[in-house]
Amino acid sequence: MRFVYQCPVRWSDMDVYGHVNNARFLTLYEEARVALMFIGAREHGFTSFERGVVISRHEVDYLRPVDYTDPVRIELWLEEIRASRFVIRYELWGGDRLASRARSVCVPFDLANQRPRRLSGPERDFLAPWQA
Amino acid sequence: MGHVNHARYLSYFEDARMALLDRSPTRIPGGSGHRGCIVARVAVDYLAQVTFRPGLMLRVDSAVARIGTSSWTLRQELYADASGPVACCACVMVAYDYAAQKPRPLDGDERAYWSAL
Repeated sequence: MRFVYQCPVRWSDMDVYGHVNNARFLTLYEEARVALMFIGAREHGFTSFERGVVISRHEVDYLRPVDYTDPVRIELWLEEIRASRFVIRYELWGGDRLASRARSVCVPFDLANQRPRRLSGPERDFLAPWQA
Repeated sequence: MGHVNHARYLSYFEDARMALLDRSPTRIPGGSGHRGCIVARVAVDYLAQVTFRPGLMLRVDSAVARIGTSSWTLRQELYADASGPVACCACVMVAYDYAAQKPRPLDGDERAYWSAL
């Protein structure tokens, strides 16, 4: 199952070429991830993701530019769920055209002790339906 | 948390790339005398958090890891202090003909410039 996020683009996301700046794609991907993992998880009654997940790697492929007037939609799903890491895959659509693909390696992290931690049961249950 | 947001790292890497492009024969897309190039792919590994402090100055080191007919890969490292890099980035650049909307071969002087890095 894919999580679909309609992503508002801000004027300041544009670069001098009138396209969404390539570095900002990562912020748009982040908005979609936060909508699922923080806001979506709150609706399920837990906030543990907000209190500690770090990103260990991002990969972004740029397929075509996104214009300011393009409605941007991000679809994301889970590629992999392991004891102490999970991998999110994304597609970014500008209108009806696929503009970018991305992949994020996420590590649950204990901020107090500054070390990786294992996914909890509720976290794993929450993520599982989104695994392709 | 007071840490630099991970998405912003991409902008630091980009700024370093733009500075490098500006002094290269390829130049900055859209600027005077530019020959056209695009970013096709970026992959970033995050190795350590960067904690904000007033006066914090970051350094980006860039080198060419691979060069092909029309594309080349920049290997970039971000440093916050004298210890090891806090993030590493591999960026695939493609020499691009905007009019024809397709990749173009690198010119000889561009190849020489990027090969020397």
